[in-house]
Amino acid sequence: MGDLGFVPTKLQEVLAYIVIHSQGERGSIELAKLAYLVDVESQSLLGRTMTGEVYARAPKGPLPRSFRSALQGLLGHEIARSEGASGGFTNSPKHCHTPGPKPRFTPLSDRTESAIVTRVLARYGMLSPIALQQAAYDTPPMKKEGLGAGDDLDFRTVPADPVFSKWKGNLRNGKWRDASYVRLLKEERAETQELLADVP
Amino acid sequence: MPPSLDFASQAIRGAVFYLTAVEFRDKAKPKYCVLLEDYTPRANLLIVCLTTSRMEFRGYPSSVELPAKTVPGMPLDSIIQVDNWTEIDSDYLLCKKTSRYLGRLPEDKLKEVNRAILDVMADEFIFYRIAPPH
Repeated sequence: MGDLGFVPTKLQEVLAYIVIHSQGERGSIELAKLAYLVDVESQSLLGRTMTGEVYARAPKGPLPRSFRSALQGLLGHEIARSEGASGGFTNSPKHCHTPGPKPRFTPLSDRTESAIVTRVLARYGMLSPIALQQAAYDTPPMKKEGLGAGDDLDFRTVPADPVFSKWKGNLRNGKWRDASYVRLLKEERAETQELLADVP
Repeated sequence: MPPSLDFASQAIRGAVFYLTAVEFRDKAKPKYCVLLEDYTPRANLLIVCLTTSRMEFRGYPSSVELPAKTVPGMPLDSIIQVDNWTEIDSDYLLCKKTSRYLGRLPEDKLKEVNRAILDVMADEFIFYRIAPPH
């Protein structure tokens, strides 16, 4: 029986989501970089990171400061770990992460958050470790001048996505949704949902 | 020659389908759906929006007017109502028993749909990359 009282951090949810929705295994450094790219994407789209983590500029790329403990807390439950060959990326054996045997929670129930992670996995999920490292190094927080090893990364350097900025501006200007429109739309949507629900 | 039912040629943004397996209340106003997105969190999940022939929707930012025969097999004037979107299983759209592929929206109409989506869409929906950054 799992620990039903377990409350994951957002970083743990992101890590679990990445592992569950990946084809094949994920290495530790790979997971850290994908989580970082999720936060870069979230910063660009929403104006805030998803995990709220502080990242350090580590030699192999960005690393959430609580990464080790977050990952450790998922092992044996949402994530299983085995050892494999590193493929030359590091000198030590690679830790391979796959979906675990006793999950205690379903990560990222918020559809916006899961859509962002899905988007990141589609863009970066198939890259080699070297290419993934390059992608992380190409982001504004990593490229900021004057940063040394171990320094904190500043996500405020990530530019806002122009399309999403425009869209958010449009949403604020939603006064045209008058009562008659809302009624019409409600009827239309109700009919759609009802009819499609009956389809065998 | 009927359009191909091959997924690769249909699973494109702007593909128009006629839903044959549902009994709409007003049979004189058949419904069509327009494929908006196949890039979704689940492999078989597609996002479509439904058209309407209720012309009361005309003129709203969420509406794209579609004159009769803009797409073959759509005999009446109708409106693509991007606010009326729904998730649908790809098997349902690609099965001859439940839907019929009619064709694809012309580019200018597709641009109007993208404009409408940017103007009105709700938070959860925009992340399906309906209007990706250029």
